[in-house]
Parts: sequence; C-alpha cells; structure tokens
Amino acid sequence: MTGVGGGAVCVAEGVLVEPRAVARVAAAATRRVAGVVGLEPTLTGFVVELGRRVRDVATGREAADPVDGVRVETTAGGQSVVVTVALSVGGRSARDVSVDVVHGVREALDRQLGVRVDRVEVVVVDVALIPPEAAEEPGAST
Amino acid sequence: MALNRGRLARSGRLPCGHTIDSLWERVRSGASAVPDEHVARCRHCQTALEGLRALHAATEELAAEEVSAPPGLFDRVMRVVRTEARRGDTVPLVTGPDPASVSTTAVAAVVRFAVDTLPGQRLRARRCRVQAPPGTVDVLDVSVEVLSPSAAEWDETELRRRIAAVVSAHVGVRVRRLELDVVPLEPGEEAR
Amino acid sequence: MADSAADVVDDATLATRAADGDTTAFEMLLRRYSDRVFGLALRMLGDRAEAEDVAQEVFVTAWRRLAELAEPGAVRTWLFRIAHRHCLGVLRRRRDRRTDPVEELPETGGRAVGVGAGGVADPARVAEAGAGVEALRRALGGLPPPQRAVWLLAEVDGLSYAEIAEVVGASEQAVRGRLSRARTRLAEVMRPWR
Repeated sequence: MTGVGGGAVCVAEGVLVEPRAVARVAAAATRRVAGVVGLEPTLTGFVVELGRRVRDVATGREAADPVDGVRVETTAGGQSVVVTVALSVGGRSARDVSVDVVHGVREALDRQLGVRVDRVEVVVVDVALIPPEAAEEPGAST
Repeated sequence: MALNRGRLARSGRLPCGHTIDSLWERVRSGASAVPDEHVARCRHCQTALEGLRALHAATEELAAEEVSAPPGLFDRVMRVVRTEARRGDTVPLVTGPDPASVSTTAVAAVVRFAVDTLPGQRLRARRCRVQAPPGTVDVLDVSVEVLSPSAAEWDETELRRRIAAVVSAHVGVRVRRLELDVVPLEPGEEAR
Repeated sequence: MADSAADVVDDATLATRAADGDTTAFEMLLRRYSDRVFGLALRMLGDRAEAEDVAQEVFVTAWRRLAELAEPGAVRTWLFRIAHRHCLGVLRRRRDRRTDPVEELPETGGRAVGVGAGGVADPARVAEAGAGVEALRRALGGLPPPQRAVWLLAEVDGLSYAEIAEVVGASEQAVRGRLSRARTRLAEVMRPWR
C-alpha cells in the first residue's frame, strides 16, 4: 500500500516523486539485503472475509503486487516521508537484518530518487528457521 | 417385506424380534460370526442380511476411496492464517529514529524450535509467551511450557543455554528472564 | 535418534501452539486433516466446490477460534464438529433456495465421491465396476442429513459413538438411533446390489 496520508514526495523545488516509486525502490533495496526472505503483505490492510471471497483475496493481485509489505506515508506537502517495511528473515539475526534494511532503503532512495526519508521503520513478521546446528552460536552446547 | 418402511423399520427391529444392528454386527464380523440357527432359517433375517451385505461391501469400497483436498485449499487457508497472525503484538528490536520490531509469534516460534531440537532429546514446547520488559532495549522475557517424556534425563541449564543461543542467533536479542514450565509426559500419553 | 513415528507431533501440542499463534503448527494440523475434512464435506454435500468452501471455512474458523478449544487433544473431533455444522448450514440454505423443481445431478463420474441428492440408481448398471458404491452414494443422498452425517462419521471416518455424539451435539443414544435408522434405510436400498 502506498501513499497513505498524502500525495507525491517533494524532492526539490518543483520536483515530485510518486509514493509508488518510493515504495518500489524501497522494496527492491530491502530484497537485496542478506537474510531477507521476503516482503510480507501485512501492511496492505486488506480485510479477509469468510466464504468464497477469501479465495479472491487470497489469490488476488495483492499477492503479486511488488510493493506489498512497503508503506510510504507523506505529510505536509511531501516534505516528510516515512517508509515502513514488513518482512520475513532467515539465516541471520532479525536485528542485524533490520539494521541493514534501514541503511539499504535510505541509501537507495537517496541515490536513485533523491528522496531523503525522515524515518524507516522495519517490522519483522516471520523468522524462517534453518537447521539447528547451523543456528548455534559458538559456545552453545550440543 | 421385512424391511419395509414404517414402524418396524424405524425401530430397527424385524418382525421376528432380531435387530438390524445385531445383524449388521454379524455381517461386519464376517466368517467369525457365531452361527445362529434362527438367522439361518428366518426369511426376515435373510432378507435384511442381503441388504446389509450389499451395504457392507459398498461401504468398504467407499471408505477405501482416497479423497484429497483440492490443491489450492492449503495455500488459501495459509494465506489467511499468515496474514492474520501478523496482526499480533510486536517487541522492539532497535529503538531510535529508525525503529525495528519483531512479532512475538515469530520469536515464540524460535523459542519452540530451540526446545524441540535439543540434541538427543524429544522435548515438545507448547505455550510460549514473549514480552519486552518495559523500559529496556533488545532484551526479552520468555516463558515456555516444555513437555518432557517422564523417563527423559536432560540438563535444564543446557536447555536454557540453548534457548538463549538460538534466540540470540535468529532474533538478535538477549533473553533476560526465562521461565521453564516442565510438564512430565507419561508413556502412552503422547496422543492427548 | 528418534524414530519417525515418535517424531510426529501430537495433536494436542500442535493445537496448543496454533492457539498461541504458531502458523507452522497450524500448517501441520491443516496438512493432517484437510483431506478428511474435505472428504466429509464432499460426501455430505456431493459437490466439490461447496465442499471446498466448507473445508476452507472450517480451517479459517478453527484458526480464529483455537484458543476456545478447552481440550487441545480433541482438535480432530472439534474440526469435524465445525465441518458438520457448516455442512448442515449449506444443506439448509440449499433446500431453502431450491425453487427449481429439477434437481441438480450429483457428480458421479471420475474421482468424484459425493453423494447424490437422492433418487434410485439404475439397476442395469449393476455389472459396472463400482456400481455398488454409486448406489450407496445415491442412497446416502436420500437420507436426512443428520442420519447421513452420523453414518459417514461412523463408517467412513471410524469415529466412536462418543466422538460422534461430540461432533453432532447429540447424546450417544441419539447417535445409535440415527445410525440404526440409517443402516435400515441403506440396507433396504442396497439389496438389489447384493
């Protein structure tokens, strides 16, 4: 879901960027981070209902939307931008991945779109579990 | 006709006094059924047995049919489940201008995984609660119910160390307080 | 280390975890019981699409209400109970809706295993393989739904009287009565297929 609470992002005098473009770049940057298993469509906020409609929702285009899991909020005429990313991680600690995602998203938005983000928020919704031995830290007993 | 609708059929009792259910048991037990002189000669019983034998044969065939749920069912249900699971609580991973958080259900799954995979043991984690103590950063309080076969011998310290290590590796936070509720599991109790 | 049988996580553990929000545990329950729940719905309703909808509703409802399940070890009968209720609801709506005097034909050919909406099969098909099952399906379709449900739970799913009573919300005595009546009716219809 994109563009909550406002329209385009103002990057310079008279230069505007669509929130959807911001979301797309943020999504791509997130996927490049090691340990990110996937973006999670938890932020789309769609309501799941019982009955046949579940089928439509469940298989509908939301699943294929490349910016699912990224929310871009703009306020005050596009001067302030907040990006929220929901993702699942695996193979690395959720905390380390989150820190790298923040850096990656900030850097990509600045470099590719000239967008300075006020805040990047990361929500880890799932941790994919890998075989136990690989997960053990040195010092943990076996 | 013995099996005609109406009072007799509804009561499940034939005019000769035998019940449909007792005849059904005879059919079900097949050759092992104790021979019964009355049943062998009674036309009511014989008529009923004919129908019950046909029913039994068809029933076995019906029960043996393999029914598979449609392939899409699994994905549709799980998509709903995963979406709804994510609306749950989160605990902070990073605080500051760019905050990060992780869902408590994801952390609980990591804790259960650590318990279940304690090497050489067959422990089962059940209920698990994860909380962030107020005013703290990247530490968690965890409580978990652990089912253990009653004969099993394992070191609680080792399990504690393991949970801490696995949570640290997968989540990246420290477990501050770990409450283990060990429930002994008697042999044969597993199915419940 | 552990043998495969012991590695199977028991229902109570899975149900407890799923009630806690563990999606992996729920996934295992879904894998374990989706065929049986779908099968019950299919044989109750005789319609694949409706059975699929019911199975979907059963599991989504189960996911949302697992925390209310007092005894997690009884999750299997609990799933059947939800399925039973949904099936009777579908049949009730189907009956209320039916203004068209022409009955829909049940699915018969191929792998369909539903029951028909009643009626008598053609005895000329006796020679065909599976004709007995076919006749049974039709006969089941002619039973009142509560009898059909009890019969399927007992004979196809192998539930005990106590479990069936739990599933359908009736006394064990009532279950025995329904089962007996169902057997009587079915035996009568099945006699030509002996």
